[in-house]
Amino acid sequence: MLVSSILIALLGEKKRLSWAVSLIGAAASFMVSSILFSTYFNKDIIEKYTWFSVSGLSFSLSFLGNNLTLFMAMLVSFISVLVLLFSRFYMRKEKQSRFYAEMSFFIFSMLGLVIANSLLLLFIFWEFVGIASYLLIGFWYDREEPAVSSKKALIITRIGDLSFLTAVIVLFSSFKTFSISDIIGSLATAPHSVLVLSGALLTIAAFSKAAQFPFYTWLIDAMEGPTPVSALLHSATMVAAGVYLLIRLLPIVSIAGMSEFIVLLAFITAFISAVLALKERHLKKILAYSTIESLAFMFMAIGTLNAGGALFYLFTHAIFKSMLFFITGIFAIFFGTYDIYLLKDKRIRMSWVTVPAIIGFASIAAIPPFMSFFAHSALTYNFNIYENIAFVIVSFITALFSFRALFVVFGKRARKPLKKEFNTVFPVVTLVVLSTIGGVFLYFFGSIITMVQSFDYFSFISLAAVFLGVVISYFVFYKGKAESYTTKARDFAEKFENYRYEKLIITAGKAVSALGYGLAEFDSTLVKSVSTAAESTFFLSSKLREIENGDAFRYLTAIIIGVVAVVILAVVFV
Amino acid sequence: MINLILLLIVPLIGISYILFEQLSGRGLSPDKISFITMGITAAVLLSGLMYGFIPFNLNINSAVDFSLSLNINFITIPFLLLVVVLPIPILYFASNEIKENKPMFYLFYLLVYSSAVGVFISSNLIFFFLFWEVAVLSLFFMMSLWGKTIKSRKAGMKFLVFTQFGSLTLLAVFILLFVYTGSFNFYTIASKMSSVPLYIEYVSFFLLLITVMIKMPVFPLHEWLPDAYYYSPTPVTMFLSGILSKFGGFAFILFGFGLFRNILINLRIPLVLLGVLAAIYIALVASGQRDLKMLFSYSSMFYMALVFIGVSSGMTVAVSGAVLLMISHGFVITLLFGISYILLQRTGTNETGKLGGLTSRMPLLSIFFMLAVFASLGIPGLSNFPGELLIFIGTYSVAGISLIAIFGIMISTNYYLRALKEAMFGHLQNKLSGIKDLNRTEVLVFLFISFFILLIGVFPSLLTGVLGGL
Repeated sequence: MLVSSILIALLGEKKRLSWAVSLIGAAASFMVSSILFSTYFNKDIIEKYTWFSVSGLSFSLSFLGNNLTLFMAMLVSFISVLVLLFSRFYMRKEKQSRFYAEMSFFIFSMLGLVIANSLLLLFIFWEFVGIASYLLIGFWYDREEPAVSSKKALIITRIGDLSFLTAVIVLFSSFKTFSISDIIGSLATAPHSVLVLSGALLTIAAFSKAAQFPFYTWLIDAMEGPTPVSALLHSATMVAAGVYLLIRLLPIVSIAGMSEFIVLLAFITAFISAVLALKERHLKKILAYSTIESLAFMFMAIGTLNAGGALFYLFTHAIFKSMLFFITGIFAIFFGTYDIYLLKDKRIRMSWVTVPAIIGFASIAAIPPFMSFFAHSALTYNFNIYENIAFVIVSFITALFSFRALFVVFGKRARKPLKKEFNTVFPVVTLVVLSTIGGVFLYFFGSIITMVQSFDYFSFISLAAVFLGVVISYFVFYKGKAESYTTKARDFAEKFENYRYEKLIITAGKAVSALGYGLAEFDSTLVKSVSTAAESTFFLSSKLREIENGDAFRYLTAIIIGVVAVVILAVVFV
Repeated sequence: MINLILLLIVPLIGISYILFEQLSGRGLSPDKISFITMGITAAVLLSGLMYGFIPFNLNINSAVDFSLSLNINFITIPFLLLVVVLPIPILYFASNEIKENKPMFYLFYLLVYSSAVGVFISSNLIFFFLFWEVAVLSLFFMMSLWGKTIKSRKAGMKFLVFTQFGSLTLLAVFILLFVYTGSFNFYTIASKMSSVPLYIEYVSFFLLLITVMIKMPVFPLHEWLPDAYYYSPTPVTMFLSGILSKFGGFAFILFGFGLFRNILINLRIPLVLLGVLAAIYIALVASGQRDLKMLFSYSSMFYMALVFIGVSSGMTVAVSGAVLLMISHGFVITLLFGISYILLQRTGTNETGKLGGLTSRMPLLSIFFMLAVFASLGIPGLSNFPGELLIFIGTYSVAGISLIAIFGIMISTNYYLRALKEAMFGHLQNKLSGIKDLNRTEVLVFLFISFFILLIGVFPSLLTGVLGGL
């Protein structure tokens, strides 16, 4: 595929003009993937290469071009173009070349991931995405927090990586091929245990990458990275990789019987993250929680075997979430803070970002005219009654926290307008337009992936819940009334604080390292005890050591004489 | 066509030239001679790979089948590549570290070099053993004579006692094989394996196992390693981890997999289990280390445990993976020890807790450090990945328990990232602010090693292609 090769060539660049090069690279890959998308619409093309082969097993890498993969490639490269435009604004004072090199590598890996057809290749790009995000989150290496959080991100996603690797090994051993299309084609022939095992492992992999319930903490900490990175990470790349993996491998997961489990965990995640977002003051972290929640929505759709809904929501979410991150980045550059209450005092209402921000937060809450409302309706298509009820509750909290952020940040009227700039205005406006009129895409989407959407009672019940949430947060956070509700809500939220969970993890980590230190002690004792044994040998040989006078040539002479003697003896006597 | 004996003759000429220089007392410095020697050997190897090798045979005493016969067997070429190429970058660290009695040191250096080459190409077991011993003894002398403290001497002694024991068991295997097949030639023995009684096969297999477990080393018999790696001068540590530990794996594959395959297959489950235990144990111990050099020593054992798992499964795929992992590990660990050496030299400490924030001072070093860590973590595109993948794919089909070792990789992710974070990221400590980054030579040396890490990672077919007749 052309796309990846273009981006590989791009990786070589380091010095000046790196921004332009990476932007052109991303734009080119967008063009190429759009052209490919329109050319190969409704066709499957597979390009296959053999990486290496050992004793009859060939480790082949293949790319697949069909509607789904090329659509994802288009989405990824589109968002990347906008993010790169925005980075020009955001990263002005930083080390440009390193940033753009890593960024391009990130985009390249994600593009590779979406068009890969071989599980092995998918895994390779999956790892690349992880590594690239590690490098980007830890971009400010001279600060303490990014170093910690990048390490945390990599360790947590590595759990998923390794379980993915295990799944790849298990599947390969039983199917003798890496090709996803072949594996899915011959699922019936495989033993059930293999599928259950690999399905479970793949679910773990997807959950850790997409920051779902047991693994979600890394995404919050990942906010230490530069904002363009967060925009890319949250919208179309890193976290979407987890969802995308399950969309591609949905048959395995559903046969393995993981779907109820996925739905359950997704609901837990959505609930926890919505509640925690209600309490958070840090704007980027609020967005991070909302990302986790949106991903949980996608997993709900996947768990109800509604891949189309998940994909459409992924598309929607990528658009409005990257826009919100751009806005956050603009605040950060102009005001130097992410704290919503501090931002309130900066008086930014009525500046040009107000309307996009309203649309963005309304999209989180899925208010009708915007695309995400339609996405929600597609999402909930397969839900049963319990899932619907739970979804209504979650939507209510979602509306509450998203409008809280909105009302707090834009609480006071601005005195002076924000400066405008092409690099900031263009991406934001493009995305605003898309997420406003995006509902239209719903009607083209059916040809990309089978998708049904319906407006049933629950769509409207949840809409009502959303409006209720909006109204409540209007009174509570905008008007500043009902302080007691705020504190109550905060108390409630604190119960769900992830510190408890964090403590558990930290304790487990400490236990492992204590075990490590203990074993290290044990091992050094072992080593020393053997030394003592060696010492006695040493003592016995002390007589012999008198020869040892430091003249190394003597030893050598002795060795040579000895070897010659042995050889002569061998030759003469035997 | 290149005769294999050339690979031995060139270093021998180098050795005699150093001796000659020593006697005449002037002329080229010994490190330059070693460099030229190894360069020529590498050129010989390259041309040999291009035009093919011809075996060499010189009969010394036919009664005991004592002959210098050199041949390429089914796994030689990857190891040959490792052993011919790897000492070249190590030489840089040697020339930096070793200031006293240089001619002697380089004499031993070339002696190890040529005997390591000899081990991998000799098909006569007596010569195999001879080369093996020369390598061990020379390393012993390098370790104890050029080590800085009294502890290095003790460590050297311990190393010698341990590995000599391993060598003796190996010798016992050879003698048993000779008694029952009447030959010391590997190929003759391989064709006459049917005449060896089963219990003798078992006995020799266990003896071999002791050798292997000491040499690689694998958990219960690894006690010599931490001391030996830690207290040796860095070039010697690199030799030990990069080349000498591969002797064990090589012997295991050549004899365990090549000759006693049936027994290996019968015992595969307990052996894999042992390997898994060793891997997890070592990974946990490594996460308890605070010193970089010690950490890398233990992590080196972890990869050897993976190799052990791979070979014990007795599956061709896993064995090729083990070969790949060993070659790759040789390069990666040399890079890691090089980094820890430079950090020690510049900062005076190797304890991760006392370092911190070095990236802003040493950006180049941190790039190589990250590369080495990523390679160790088995990131695709770098050299450890194909090996690990093949090992796990191969062993999974016969022994599912091997997948537990993946948990060990998880633990190693933790300690590698911790080391990386503590040493390189975060706030720079004030007393480290005057530190200098890598100079041009060091960058070249590291680039040279990294080139092979990338090469194996991207084109593993280069190595799997030459694993003929496995």
